[in-house]
Amino acid sequence: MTFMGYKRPDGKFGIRNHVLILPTCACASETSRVVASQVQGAVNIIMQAGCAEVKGNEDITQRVMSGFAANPNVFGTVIIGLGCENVGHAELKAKIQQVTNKPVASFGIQEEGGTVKTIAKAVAEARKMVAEASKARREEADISHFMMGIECGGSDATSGLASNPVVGYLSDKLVDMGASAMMSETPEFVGAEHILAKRGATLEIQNQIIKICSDYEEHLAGVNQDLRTGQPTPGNKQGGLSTIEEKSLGCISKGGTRPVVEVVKYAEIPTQKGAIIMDTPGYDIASVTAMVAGGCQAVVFTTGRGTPTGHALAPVLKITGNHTTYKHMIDNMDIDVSEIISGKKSIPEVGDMLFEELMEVCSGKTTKAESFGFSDICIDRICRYI
Amino acid sequence: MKANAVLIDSKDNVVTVVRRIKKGEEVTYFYGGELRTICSVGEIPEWNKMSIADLAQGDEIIKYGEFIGVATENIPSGEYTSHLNIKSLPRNYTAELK
Repeated sequence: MTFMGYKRPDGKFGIRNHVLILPTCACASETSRVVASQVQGAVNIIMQAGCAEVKGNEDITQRVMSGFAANPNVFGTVIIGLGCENVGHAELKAKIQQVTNKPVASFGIQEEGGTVKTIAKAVAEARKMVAEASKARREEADISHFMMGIECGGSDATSGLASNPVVGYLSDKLVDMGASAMMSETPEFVGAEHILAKRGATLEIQNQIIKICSDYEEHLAGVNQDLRTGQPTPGNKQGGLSTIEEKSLGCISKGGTRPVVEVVKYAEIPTQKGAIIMDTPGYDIASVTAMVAGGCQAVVFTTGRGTPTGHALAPVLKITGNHTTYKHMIDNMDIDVSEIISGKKSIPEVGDMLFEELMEVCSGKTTKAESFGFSDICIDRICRYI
Repeated sequence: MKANAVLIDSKDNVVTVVRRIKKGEEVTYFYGGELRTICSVGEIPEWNKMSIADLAQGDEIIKYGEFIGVATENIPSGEYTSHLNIKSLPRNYTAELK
């Protein structure tokens, strides 16, 4: 099985061809936004983090930034820094060059002498990069170069009945073909972690799955908090999910049944191919952010209540098993899988259709969130800013 | 007769209703190939749960054939079962590690 992708100098294949304007910190976010607005083909992200961070938070932020630049959907990156943040533009550039040999340029606002001068230089560089990117042509790539991110958000009881199991089928199908599928959201394993752990390919991985849940709860307890105060969310409860156990049992079915070959940290790039678990919050935006930084080229997103979310670098495909939501939020919903619940169609039937749709998205078909140009981002924190 | 609720696993003591159920309405679901009916004793919002057994305070609530919480009060068969009358329990991770 193959898909049509853009070959990168580091050997990966993108399904999109973006030039990323990457701020190193919040103070460079607005300048980056202006730069991207001047260059068709460039996308910016808003960076809330990057400054006044303890080392633990800095490590997370840096993995996200270099992971975004290394994502196969990115042709090249123009970094905009300020000059006094945790990790400056030149240092970030060097970090990115350690993980990919794709084009990267960088500028500092303090160094250049303000916003206008920085914008002038960065726009010129971004235009040059986009011109180069525009010469790239899609070519056939083996499916083993593809990694799907699996996300759920705004779940209701239909998620566990239809959209999550059918995405689980899709995940198994991709893994069997040699591709990778990444599931995340550790708090949404809690209550079902004993079942998920059975998928670990080794005893060590089985224990790792239990441990990330245990560590998560312990971390929250350290600041006197309990995830059950915010999980399930009010929307989940209205949608019929009453406890974290119930929510998690529905959630884990979206990861399918194949052996989990690796458990990675938040925003870490996996070394294995197959079914991967990433340790992220259940907060969908923070999770998608991390999976895209981990190298996922597309995210399949299940929802019951409905959500508009999208990512600047990777298409996000919305699947719902709630027919009312599909009709009510047609602007935001890509695929209706409610016929699984009514019994009109089987999971394999709908799953095969979903696979075809995903392959079309890989080859260039835009998703609803993508056509809006949506660019949500949230980076996980281990503690307060300093 | 058409089912208006889903029993996911034969061990479950709750069903998921596929539309809003009025008080006293018949709720029908498949138990294997057999169609079963219970009268609701309260209103149940779309996609929410209804108990299909008389449950005492502290009893385990089972969905997907798995534990999803305990009853915080007595829940008669046919009652709306939600975050208002069931609760999550802490995990025993140490026992789960191999």
